Amino acid sequence: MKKALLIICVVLPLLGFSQNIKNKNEGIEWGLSGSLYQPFLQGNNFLANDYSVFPGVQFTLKARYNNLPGIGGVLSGNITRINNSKFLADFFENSRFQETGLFVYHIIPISEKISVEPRIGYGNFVAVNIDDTQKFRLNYDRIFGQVNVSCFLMKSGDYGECNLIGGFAYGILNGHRININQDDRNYVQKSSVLAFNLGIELVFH
Amino acid sequence: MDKINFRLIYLIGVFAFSFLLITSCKLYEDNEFTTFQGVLIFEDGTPAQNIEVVFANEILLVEMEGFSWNDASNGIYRGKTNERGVFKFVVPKKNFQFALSARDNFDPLYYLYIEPDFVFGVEKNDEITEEIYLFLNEYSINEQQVLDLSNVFIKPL
Repeated sequence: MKKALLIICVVLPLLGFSQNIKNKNEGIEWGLSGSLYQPFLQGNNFLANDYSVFPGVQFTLKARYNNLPGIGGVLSGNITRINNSKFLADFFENSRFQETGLFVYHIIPISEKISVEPRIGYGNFVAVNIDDTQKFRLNYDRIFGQVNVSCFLMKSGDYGECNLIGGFAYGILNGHRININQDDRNYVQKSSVLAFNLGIELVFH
Repeated sequence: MDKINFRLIYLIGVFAFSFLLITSCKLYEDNEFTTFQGVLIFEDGTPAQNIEVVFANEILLVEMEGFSWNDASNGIYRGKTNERGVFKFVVPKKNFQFALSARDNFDPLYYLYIEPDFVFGVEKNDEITEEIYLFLNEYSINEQQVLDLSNVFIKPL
């Protein structure tokens, strides 16, 4: 399952980049999107077992030139709850996950109104645990692939359009900066995340 | 609006988003866990199996002095020894750094006790004295943030 998702997330962008898309739009095209975002931590590890994740939000800004592959940045945040954790005990009242990342993307038109947008990127994943006076942060590196499907909704002015977007992402988390005893190291440092998003995107040419 | 204005909006958007991205990427290296571990054994050398050990910090001690045994639940770990008498507590490090500053540069107090009716046999000046609380401050923590107590003698009260 994991390998299949990873292959989809990596191969689709490569296929996309190799395609010769007709130049429908000249100049810079940029997009701004906001989505509902739900990550699911995978496997038997610290992040997957010790946290429950609630739906959150994701914001993306991206830009490309002359239908070439573009670049973008993504921010997301989710409120989480600490389950009965042997590492965090009951120190923390609140917790949340924050994700940031930079990605390369390409748009593959399927029909007049529908297009597929694969992305690959690299970023940071932080589990923030909050006491009433202090924060305890656990930093993970995140390599991710994402596939979004975009459906045209309406035109907005001469140069803009509004799309409905939805998709999934798969990311591998590596917390190599976390210093912990040898026995628990693998359990705490490694994880992976499968995430789904659904939202609205504004595109301007 | 013409194209130029859209480019301006685009630039402003990119700038604002980059700012958000950079500020949210700021790395706080509080990725530190401290591990406290050891082996509980009885005086005859047999491992103390299935004994509940409580890890506590100074907050609990203060509350105990304020005659409140049961109120203190913040920052306490409870764990049972396994069949070899081994116990282990893995604790976020930053919490205790805060505890340190709160006490005006006094060392923070971390200690263990056993519920309900056991005491530690602590060796001091070649004599074994009985202690209800085993204070962890006198032991050193290695580079991997592990404090290993190795063998700790316990006996019934």
